[in-house]
Amino acid sequence: MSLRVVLLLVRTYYLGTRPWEQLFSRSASRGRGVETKHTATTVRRIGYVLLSILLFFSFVMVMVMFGFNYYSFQSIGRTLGYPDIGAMMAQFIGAVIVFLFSCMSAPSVLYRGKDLSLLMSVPIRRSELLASRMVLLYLSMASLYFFIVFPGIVIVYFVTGISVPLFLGAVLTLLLGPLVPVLLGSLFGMLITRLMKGRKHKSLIEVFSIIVMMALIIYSQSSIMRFTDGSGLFEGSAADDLGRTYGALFERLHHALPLFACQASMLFSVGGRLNPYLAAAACIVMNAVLALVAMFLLEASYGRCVSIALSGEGRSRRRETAGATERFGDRSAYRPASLRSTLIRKEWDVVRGTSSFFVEIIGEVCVPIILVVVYALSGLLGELSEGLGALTVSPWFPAAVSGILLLMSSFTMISSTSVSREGPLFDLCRSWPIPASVQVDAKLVFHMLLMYLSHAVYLLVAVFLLGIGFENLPWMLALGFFTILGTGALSLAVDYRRPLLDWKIPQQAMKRNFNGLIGMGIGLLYLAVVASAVLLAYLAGLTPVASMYVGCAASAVGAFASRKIALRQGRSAYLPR
Amino acid sequence: MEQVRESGDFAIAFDHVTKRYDGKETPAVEDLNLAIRKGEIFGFLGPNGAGKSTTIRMLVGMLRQNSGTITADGFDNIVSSVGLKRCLGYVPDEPVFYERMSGLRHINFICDLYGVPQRLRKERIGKLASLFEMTEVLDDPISSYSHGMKQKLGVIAALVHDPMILVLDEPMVGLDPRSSFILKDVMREFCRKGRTVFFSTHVMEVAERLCDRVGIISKGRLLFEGTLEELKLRKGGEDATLEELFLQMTGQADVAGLAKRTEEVLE
Repeated sequence: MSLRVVLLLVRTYYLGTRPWEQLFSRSASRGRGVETKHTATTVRRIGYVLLSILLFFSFVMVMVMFGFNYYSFQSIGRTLGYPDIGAMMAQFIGAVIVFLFSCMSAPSVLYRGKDLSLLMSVPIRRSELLASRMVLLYLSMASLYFFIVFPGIVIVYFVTGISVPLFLGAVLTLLLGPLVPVLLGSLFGMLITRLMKGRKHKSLIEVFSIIVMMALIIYSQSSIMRFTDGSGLFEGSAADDLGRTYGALFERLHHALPLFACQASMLFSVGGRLNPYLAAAACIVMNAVLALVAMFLLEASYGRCVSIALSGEGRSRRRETAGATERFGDRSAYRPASLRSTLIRKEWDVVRGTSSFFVEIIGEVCVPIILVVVYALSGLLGELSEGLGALTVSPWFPAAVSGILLLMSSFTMISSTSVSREGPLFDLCRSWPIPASVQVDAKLVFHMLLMYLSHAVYLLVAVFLLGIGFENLPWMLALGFFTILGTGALSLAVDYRRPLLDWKIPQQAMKRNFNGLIGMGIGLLYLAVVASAVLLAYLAGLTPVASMYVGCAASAVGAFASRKIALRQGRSAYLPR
Repeated sequence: MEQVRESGDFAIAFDHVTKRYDGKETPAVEDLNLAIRKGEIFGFLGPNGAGKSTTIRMLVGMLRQNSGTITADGFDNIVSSVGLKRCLGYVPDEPVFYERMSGLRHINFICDLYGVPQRLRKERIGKLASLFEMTEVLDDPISSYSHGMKQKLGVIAALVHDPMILVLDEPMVGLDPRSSFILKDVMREFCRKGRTVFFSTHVMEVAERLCDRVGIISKGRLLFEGTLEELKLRKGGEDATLEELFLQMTGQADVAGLAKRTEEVLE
C-alpha cells in the first residue's frame, strides 16, 4: 500500500468536492429587478457574517451545555470515588454519537461515493482506495468528536489544572478517540450493505440513529437535572438517591468499557484510577489492535461491497403489488386525484426522496414524543407532574402549555425550506399548467398536515395528562391552527422569495439554509405578537380565557395576511424568470 | 417568416425576442424572429451554447425574455403562461423526476395536473407504454431507470395529455436506436394530425430526415430559417449534406484543419 497514493486520493477528494465551500456557500437566487449587483453582494456578505456568527454561538452554546453536563458527572463521580467519570462520559457520549453517524455515513463514503466508479477503474490497490475512504470518514467524524469531547477535556483542566498528562492525553483522545467508533460504524455499514444487497436503506438507519442520539443526550441531561440544583452541584438531600443510582452504574461502566476508562485516566496527572502514561500506552495498544482487526475485515470484503453497492444503485424494493402489465386491467391504478391532493402527495415524495429531508422532518415532528418517552423512562415525567401540582391551578396554565407546544411547532423548517428542497425539480413545477395559488396552497396544506396534526395530538395528550379542562380545547385548537398556518405561510413566502435551488448536497437545502433560520425567527416573532395581543386583552380587563380568544382572533388575522403574502411571493416565483 | 406570419397559420411565434442572463455581456438569444407553422416538424440546430435550450425554456414559460414576445397556440408565454403550458408537451434535455415515484405514478401525476380523465388516461398510458416498451417497468421506482428509460418516460409524460405542440430539447440523447426510431415515428404521426413539433438537436442526420423546416442558431442569433432545399440554394451546395451546411453556416467548416489537429494531438 502506498501512502502517497492514499494522500493523493484524499487531497483530490477535497479539491473536487470542497466541503468547506459547500458548508458556507449560499447561492440563493438573486433578488429580482430592483437590487443592483453591488447591493446584492453586500447584503449577501452581511448574511454570511450573520450566519457565521449565529452558527458560532450555537456551536459554543451546545458545547457549554455538554460541558455543564460533564461537570455534573465529574462532581458526582468525585463524591462517589470515581474521579475521572466526567471525562469518561464525554468520551463515551462522543464515541456513541460518532459511531451512530459513522453507521449513517460509512456505506455512502466507503461504497457509494459518486467518484468510486471512476476510482475503481484506475490502477490503484483496493487497500489504498479503502484507506483513503477511511481517512475521509475519519476526518469528517473527528470534527464531530472534537465538538462533543473537547468540553470534557476543558472540565478536566478546571479540575486538575494544566499538566503534561492532560496535554498528551488531550491530543491522544482527540486523535484516537474517533478511531474505534468510526471503524465499528464502518463494519456495521459493511454488514448492512451486504445484508441489504446494495439497496438504499439510509433513511431507516438515519432515523434510528438520530432518535438514539437525541434520547442519549436528553437522558444524560435530564438524569443530571434530577440530582442537581442547575449549577452542576448536586443537592445534599438527593445524595442517597444519587449514590444508589450512579454508584453501581459507574462501577459497571468502568468494567464494561475499559477503553474509555483508560482514555479518561490518561488525562489525569493525579487522582485518576490508572497511571496516566500506562493508560495512554494501553489505549494506543487497544486502538491499534482494534484498527488492525477492523481494517482486515473491511478490506477482505471491500471489493465485493463496492460491487454490490454499484450494481444495486437505484435498485429499490419492487412494490408487492402486481406488475404494470396486470394492472392495466385495474382501474384503481388510474383513479384521478384532485389537483391539490396530487400536489400534496408530491410534497411528501420530495421529502421521502432524500434521506436527510426525511430525517430532519421526522425529527421536527417527533421531538415532543422523544422528550416524553425519555422523560417517562427516566422517571422525570412523574416528578415533573408532581412538581406541576401547584401550577396547574393557575388560570394561565393552559395558555402556558399551549404556548410551549406552539413554540415547538413553530420552530420548524418545513415551510421555510419547502421550495429549496425541490432543487432542480422546481423548474419542473414551473413548467406545469397549474396556477401558482394551487401550488402555494398545496405546500401550506402539507405544512399543516405535518405540523398542525401533530400539534393537535400533542395538545390532546397534554390536556388529558395534565388535567387541563376540556373547555379550553376549542381555543387551544383554534390558536394552534391559525398560528401554525400564519408562521408556515410567512416562512413559505421567505423561501419563495429567495429559494436555494442549486444545492449540491441535500443538507444545504435544509440544515444549512439561511431561510430555515429566518423561518424559525418568524415563528418566534409571530408567537410574541400573539402573546402581546393576549396580554393587551387581559390588561383591558378580559378574563384569561376571553383573552386567549382575542389571541386566536389576532392569529387568524395574521394567518390570513400571511397567506396573502405567500401567494404573492409564490405567483412571482412561478412566473418565467 | 413573414410569409408564415401573414398566413396566420402558425403554432409558435418568436417576435424580436432577446434574452440576456444576469452578469453576461452578450445575450444568450438576440432579436429572435421565428414562426413555426401548424402541422410541421421544426428542427432547431446550433452548436453548444448557441441559445437553443434558452429559447426552448422561454417558450415553455420557464424563462422570461428581456424583450419581444413569444406565443404558442395563441397564448403569450408571460401573460397566459398557464394556458400556454396546457397546450404544450415538453421534454427537457435532462430528464428530471421525483425519483421515489414509480413510472406509472409519475404519469398519473402528470394526468392529474393536466386533468386527463380516468378513461382516457388508462388507454393512453397503455398505448404509449407499450409503444416505448416501458410496460414491464412502469411499476418500478424511477430511481432504478436508466437514462434512456427516463427519457422515454419523459416523452410518454409529454404526450399523455394529448398536447397541441410538442417541444423537445435534445430528445434523441440516451435513446437506443429502436427507441429513437419509435420517437421519430411518433413525431411524424403527431404532425400528421395537424399538430406541431419543435425540437432541438445536434444530430444532423435526424434533422435532415425528419424536419420540414430547420432553424440554425449560433451565438444567440438566428442564421437561417427554412427548408433544407432553401438552405442548399442559399449556400450554393446542392450535393452538400446538412452537416456540411451547418458547419459552414456556424463558421466551423474547417474540417480538414480539425482533422489535422486531431492527428497531431494523438501522435
